[in-house]
Amino acid sequence: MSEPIRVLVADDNRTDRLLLSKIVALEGHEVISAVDGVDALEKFRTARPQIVLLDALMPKLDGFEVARQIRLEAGDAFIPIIFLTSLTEADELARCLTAGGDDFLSKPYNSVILRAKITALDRMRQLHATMQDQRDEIAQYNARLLREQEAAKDIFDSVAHSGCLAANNIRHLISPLAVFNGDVVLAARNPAGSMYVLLGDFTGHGLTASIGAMPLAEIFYGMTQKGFHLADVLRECNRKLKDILPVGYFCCATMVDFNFQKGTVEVWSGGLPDAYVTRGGGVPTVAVVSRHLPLGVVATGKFDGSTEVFELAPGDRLLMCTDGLLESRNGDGEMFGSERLVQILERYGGDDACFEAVKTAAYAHMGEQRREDDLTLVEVTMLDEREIDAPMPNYVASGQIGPRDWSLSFQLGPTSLKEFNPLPLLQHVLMEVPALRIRGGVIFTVLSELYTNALDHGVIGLSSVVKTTANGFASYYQRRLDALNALVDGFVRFEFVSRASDSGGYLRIRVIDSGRGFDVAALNARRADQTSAYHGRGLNLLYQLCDSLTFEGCGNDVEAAFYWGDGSDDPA
Amino acid sequence: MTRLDPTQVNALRDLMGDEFDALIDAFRADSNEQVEAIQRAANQNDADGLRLQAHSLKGACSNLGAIDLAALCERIEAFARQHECVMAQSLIAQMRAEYRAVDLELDGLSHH
Repeated sequence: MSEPIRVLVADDNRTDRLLLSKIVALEGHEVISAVDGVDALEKFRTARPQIVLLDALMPKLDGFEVARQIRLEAGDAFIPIIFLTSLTEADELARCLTAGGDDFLSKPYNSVILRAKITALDRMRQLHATMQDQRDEIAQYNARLLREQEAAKDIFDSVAHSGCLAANNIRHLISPLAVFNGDVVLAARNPAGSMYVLLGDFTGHGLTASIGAMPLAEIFYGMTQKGFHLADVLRECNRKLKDILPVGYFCCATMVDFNFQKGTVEVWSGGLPDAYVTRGGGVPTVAVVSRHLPLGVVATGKFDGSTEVFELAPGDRLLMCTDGLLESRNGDGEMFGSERLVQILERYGGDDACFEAVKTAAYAHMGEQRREDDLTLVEVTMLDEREIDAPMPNYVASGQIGPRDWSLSFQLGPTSLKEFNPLPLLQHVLMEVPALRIRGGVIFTVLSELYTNALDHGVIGLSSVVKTTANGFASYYQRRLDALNALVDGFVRFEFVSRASDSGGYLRIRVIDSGRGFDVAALNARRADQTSAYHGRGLNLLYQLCDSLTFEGCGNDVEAAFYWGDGSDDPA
Repeated sequence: MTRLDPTQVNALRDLMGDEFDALIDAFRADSNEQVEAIQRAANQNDADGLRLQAHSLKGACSNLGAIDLAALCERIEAFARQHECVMAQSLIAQMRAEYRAVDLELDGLSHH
């Protein structure tokens, strides 16, 4: 015996009604009777039965029409309808079911059969109700998940596509699915004015993939602002990601260092599709192939931060993309592919219209499938430094007043010179002096230039002549790397002295190296000549940026000074 | 010869229990009216009315076990669907006769 339910019995014949009611009541159910179609609908609305027994042929409103109305009014709920009929033709009986009935019962009524049908249909009704509840629960849960994802997306967007992406030499496209496919684009200028851009593609899908973008962005921006080298930033990113990501999760990435002073771009690529260097004037496109494993795979000690260097003239570009572009399919399932991309780059290479052309071609290829837009690409253009419109890093005060009379001596021997970049550390110290903060970029550039001269030309003894030739920079960096690795003795020493009062102050930076020095007078003469090429710029730059610059000894001892307020009256 | 199917009647008795007599009385009252209504409909050439009434009576008859009466109702119903009210008349006469016999038997049943 099933649970008691409310049953509506609609039959225009009193005898049949009495019989049915008796059968149903004997089962323990509550019976509501109706005498015709109109009455049946009335009673359905007020009594809300769980099962309806309907005579197929009734005056006023026949059973089929009543069934239709009941279905409408029941809405989502499932109210089983059993048609009562003395129709005997098979197609008439079938009509009962197609008209919205769930079963039929022929006259003469068999109480055993009717009881069994009611039980079975009520079981279906309950099952349906359970599924409705579960569906509603799932819908609610789904809605909550979507809201959480929206919130996560907002946070992701504010972190993962920020920095100086709005710079006038950067164009980019981020997949709208980025929060779920883990695409990241980061860009920032370092204190020397160079621009670092990182394109990343985390493996996996969903929030698990993109959550790695948070620490990655923090490291990228933090270290770039402090003046660390590309390789150092990447090493730390790799260490962090290896630390936190589960096995099998990693981040394919390409990172570039655009140096506008030197007109070079340094590239590190691990796992992403080829990046491309395009130049104007019919120069063929150069593919920059990934030479490293993605971030988060290699142990810290084994991380390889070696890069490739390319010279770029103003207007030359570098384009990088995730595999979303290459793997986007058209209606026939054909992928876009790298060949198509290269064709476009060959045609537009180095031209301003290139980026749009790639975009347009990609969208055209996808056509209808554009809904699954998964394109992320970045183009960075080399410009003359003065034309760059992108903010420089701000220095955040540590909150203290800062040292007002201090000196610092810091010397690096051969091992340190090989392995350690002292600039971020020294810059950090200098930035603790409030008056120096607003000149942070200048100071870093000077520090950097002095150190480079001391190390490259002083300790290692590289001639700067090499830099003027066509592939000069690339071979220069290689020779430098080789010489550095072979270094057995030598040193570079920094000596800082600084005084600050309420009315002004000064900072003197002295850099001494163990090299043989150079002919200062001759170089100054060449400087005046105005036809100097790249290698002369270092000195010009220093003279421009410092308040004073003097050479002692044989040229291996240089002092740069900065003054503010009445600081030029220093007793030293 | 009995006009009512004994198996059906016994089942009804078991099912209705105390209310068996009430059921029989209800049927007799209603079916009496329905027979007249069938006659009227045929006389007035009301094919639809004839069809519905014959169909309804047929159902009740089958529930009560009046098999032959039910069969006659079905044939009248068929004529009514074809709009053959005139041709239904002879069947209606047979039906009336059958009904009188059934009614007599029912009378006997309910006063046990």
